Amino acid sequence: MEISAAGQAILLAALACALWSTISSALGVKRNDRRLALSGERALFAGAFFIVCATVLLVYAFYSRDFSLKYVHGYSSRSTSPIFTFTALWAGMEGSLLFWTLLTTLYSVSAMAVQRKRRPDLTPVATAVLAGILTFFASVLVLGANPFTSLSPIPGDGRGLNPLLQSPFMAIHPAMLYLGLTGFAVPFAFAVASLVTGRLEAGWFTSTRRWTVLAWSFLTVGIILGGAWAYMELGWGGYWAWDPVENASLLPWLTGTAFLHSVMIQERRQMLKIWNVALILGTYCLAIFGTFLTRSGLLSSVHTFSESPVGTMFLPFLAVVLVFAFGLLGWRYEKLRSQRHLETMFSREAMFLFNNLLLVTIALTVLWGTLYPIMVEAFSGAKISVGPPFFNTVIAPMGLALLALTGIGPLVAWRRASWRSLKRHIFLPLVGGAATVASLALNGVRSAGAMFGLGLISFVAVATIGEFVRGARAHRGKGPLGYPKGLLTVISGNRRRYGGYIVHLGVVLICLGISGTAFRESWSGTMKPGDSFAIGRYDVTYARARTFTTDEKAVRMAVMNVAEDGRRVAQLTPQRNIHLAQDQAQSEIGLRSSLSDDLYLVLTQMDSSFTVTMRAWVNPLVAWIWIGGAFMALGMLVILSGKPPEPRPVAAGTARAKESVPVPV
Amino acid sequence: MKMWPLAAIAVLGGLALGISFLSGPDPDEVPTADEVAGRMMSPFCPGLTLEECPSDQASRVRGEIDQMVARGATNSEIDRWIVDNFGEVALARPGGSIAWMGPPLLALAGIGAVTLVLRRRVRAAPQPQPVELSEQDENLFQQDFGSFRRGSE
Repeated sequence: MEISAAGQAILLAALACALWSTISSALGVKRNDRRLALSGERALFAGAFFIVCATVLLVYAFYSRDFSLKYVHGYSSRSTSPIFTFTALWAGMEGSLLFWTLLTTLYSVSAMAVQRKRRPDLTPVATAVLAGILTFFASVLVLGANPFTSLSPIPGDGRGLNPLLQSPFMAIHPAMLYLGLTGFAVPFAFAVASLVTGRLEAGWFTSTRRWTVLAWSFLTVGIILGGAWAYMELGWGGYWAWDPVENASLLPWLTGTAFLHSVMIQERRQMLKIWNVALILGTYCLAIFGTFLTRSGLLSSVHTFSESPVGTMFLPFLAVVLVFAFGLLGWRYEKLRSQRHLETMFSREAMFLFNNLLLVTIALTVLWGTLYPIMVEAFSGAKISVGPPFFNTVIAPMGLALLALTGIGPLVAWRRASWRSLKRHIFLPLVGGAATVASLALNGVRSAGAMFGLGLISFVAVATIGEFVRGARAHRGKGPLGYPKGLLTVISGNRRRYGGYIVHLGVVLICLGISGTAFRESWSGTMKPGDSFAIGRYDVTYARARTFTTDEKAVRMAVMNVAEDGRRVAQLTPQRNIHLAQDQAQSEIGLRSSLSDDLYLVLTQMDSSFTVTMRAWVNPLVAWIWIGGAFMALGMLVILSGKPPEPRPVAAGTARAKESVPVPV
Repeated sequence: MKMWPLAAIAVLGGLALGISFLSGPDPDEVPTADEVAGRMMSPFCPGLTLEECPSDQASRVRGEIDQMVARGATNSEIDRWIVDNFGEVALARPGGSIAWMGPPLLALAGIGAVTLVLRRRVRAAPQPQPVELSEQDENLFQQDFGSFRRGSE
């Protein structure tokens, strides 16, 4: 049997299972029929099995160099390395959608397997929702973006993978991003289940908290790795360009972050129930919106896939999800209204509220800036751009306010804080911030923005470290290792809280890295062998050129000697290569990275007389962004290593909701 | 806690930001080449500014901007040159008030809404009322409190 026919048959089988699972689970809930609900669950598992089979088949086609498949021909060649042959799976539209579907189904069946015993009251509705999502994606794969479309006549070799995608970061970054975006399907499904069944108490999110944290963690790591990929591979000296696709991944991250904070208010005070449900519903809708945006051809970006009918399939799906989810929320509005009240504006709850307000406003601003050119074109026909100057100007003040809250929030007590206690705890952080500003001023820094930003970063760093010190002091034992032991005790005793503080420290370090932009230096010009230029603390000399050709590319390399105070400290070799299979030029940067700054060299052109056009940047503190990312990942691991929340007692064996409600199918 | 200072700061901050956004760079000032490259979207790299775009063509356009700046061209002259040669789509700073005022208005609306809701809730929150104890209860309390204090000493 041809691989194309087999793949199409498997996708059709997956679609049939998903469709049956949706209908059967929904009918099972409506008729209180356990057999139908069980059938729906099993069909979801069967659908997942077929999606796994389809993915394995496509991977097999890649490794067997089966160019009878259009997708395999388009994204690999005989010379593609084994690792990039695997990552080619998500390099194009069709494969990336199959990968997205695979992850959604794996999350779905894992959640079902865990939650069917813990929350038998919510699982049937959640199964129907997750199966509905799978039905949509399987339909897209079958009708709009089929990775098993055949090619005739069969070419002898493939077109190969885009050189920009042949990077270790690109091997991991999309996978992490997709793991994050798809993971929000689980809390989304359980939030919908709680609305449908009327079980609106905190249980729905405590049951899925770990899934939410897991999805958010993957998304965070994915975004940071995306920045690292852009920095190392794209050769423009930066890591974030406010590109529409970057924005699309940031939107659910922002609302997901808001949710992870505001959910604590509901746990502690049983408040903000409506807000929390709305946030998690909105987060998944934004994840779907991002997928639509990258596949619709609406926006111009280095990341977007080519225009295809897939975009038009996503729009009605997004509309249905939005109307369905927020319609349910409106329907349950009265039941969700909180019976408790905020006692004072000076409390941890209020800090979380303002944190949420800022995060959601930033998300709306990013959404506004991303969609504004589309709206203007739709209404007036004019083509305009909204680029970094807009986002940097508008987001920076809100980002700084958010950073300040990161430092102040943990110092303020729940319910009703006292000024006396706050004054005691805020004193050292204020001293830290003031000392930083003074030291910057003494070192000749005159930029008010930079001094304020770095002062604030110090304030938050000292405040956050203070939380660890106070905790360690309270749990310290005797002897020289008293404090470290106390620190370990306090972290392992409350992993969620202290894991969160480690994440905050990561955020502080990332802000430190970003603040380096204020001191960035750049140089550009043409050079002949022997020429030099000075940038920052470095003297850079173009020593010689090297040119050679490999099986994959024609390499043009400039050998650059880097000296500091007359002493050679590095030799960098930026390249401008022509990838032969794709006839595509690509720059390989020359990078000397240290904790204080990065020297970043890009060769943009080399002519026959070895005269080169070179661009150079000194990017201060960039390394702290990646260190901050590692801290965030560590904090997330600490949070996830904690005990899962205890399941609340639920009468087993009933799929029936507390009250009879119609289930929209 | 009084909310009006916060609201006033937010309103003033929003207005100040809005005005500064609308005004943009001084049209009669001569910018640096980097400033111009940072506010021009590259026609050759989708989604990137000219400053960031690594293509050869972008290098050439940066070279032209360098020459214009060296000749003393002002912000408005350079922006006009960008629009004439590459269209309005090449300006990374969107013109018009709606683009810039949207986010501050969103933020203000959000702050206003949260403030109103919170004030209502704080007011509506049941405040603890002093409880009048009977003489007997008062004596019992004093006895218990006295033994507690002695115990803690």
